[in-house]
Amino acid sequence: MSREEDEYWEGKILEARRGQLDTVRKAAAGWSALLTAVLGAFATVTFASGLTGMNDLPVGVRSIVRIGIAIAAIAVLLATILAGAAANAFPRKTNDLTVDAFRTAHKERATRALKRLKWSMGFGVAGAVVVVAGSFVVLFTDKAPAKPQPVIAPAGGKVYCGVPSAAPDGSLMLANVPLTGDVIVVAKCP
Amino acid sequence: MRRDIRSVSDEAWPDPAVPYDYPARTAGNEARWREAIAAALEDKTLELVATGGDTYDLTGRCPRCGHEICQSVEFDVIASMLPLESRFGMFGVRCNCVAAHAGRDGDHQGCGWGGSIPVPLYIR
Repeated sequence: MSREEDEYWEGKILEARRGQLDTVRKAAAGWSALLTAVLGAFATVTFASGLTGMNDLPVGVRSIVRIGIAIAAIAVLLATILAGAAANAFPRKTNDLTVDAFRTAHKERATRALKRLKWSMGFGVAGAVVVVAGSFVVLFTDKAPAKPQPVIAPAGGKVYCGVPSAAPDGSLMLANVPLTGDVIVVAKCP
Repeated sequence: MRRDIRSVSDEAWPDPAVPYDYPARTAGNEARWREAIAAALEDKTLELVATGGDTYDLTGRCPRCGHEICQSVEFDVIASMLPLESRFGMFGVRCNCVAAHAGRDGDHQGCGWGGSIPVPLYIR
């Protein structure tokens, strides 16, 4: 390389040294925008339908999915907060306006922002993995069998409540009494 | 590293009267400059003086011309997400003395060495 070329790249090195905080903040802002966009798309396309169908899941799987949703929500929230903290400056006061102190503080802020960005990316990836895994569970788990519905029915001068059973002749019975009149379907017996 | 004897300066260092010379990036020149910087750090004619945080002043005498030089050196510069070996780095160490050297134009400082030759520096 020529001396002019060397001097050009030395200038770039100096820019990189002096712009470390801006470099990290730009990266954090980019990451924050990506996180928001991906989560927005995912919430629109998959997550909403996953939540709607969750009540159809077997009880055990439903609990796992609920825990997954809670973990993903916390991870994504932390990722968003940390990305925001890395991308933005918090105003502060100082009485030390010496070159050394200002340069050291600049580097410390850049290093702190980089740590926050790394943690944000970690939480973001963890949240995304949980969301994707949970969505696959919701999509590929068979629906729970329908729960038998109790009914209230008058029979033989009394009122019975319970889940009807089938008689040998195919008619419905409640407490071994054939159902002949109208029945009222209830969520549970009083 | 291959050592190209023909391209290595035959000058005896340090010599305050050396002319201005911007070194070519040859294996011989790189080896000579790195060895000279390492020797200067060893015998403390060059020293890394902490100035706060990751920044140090490389200060002392130019191995080539023997004049006073001072250069700011920053370790652990944030350029990527990957972890690096802390307090170790490759730097361009260049003479920036204010003494006169024959053949130097008005836009530059020092005796010209070590150009863009990368030199490993670390804090012990």
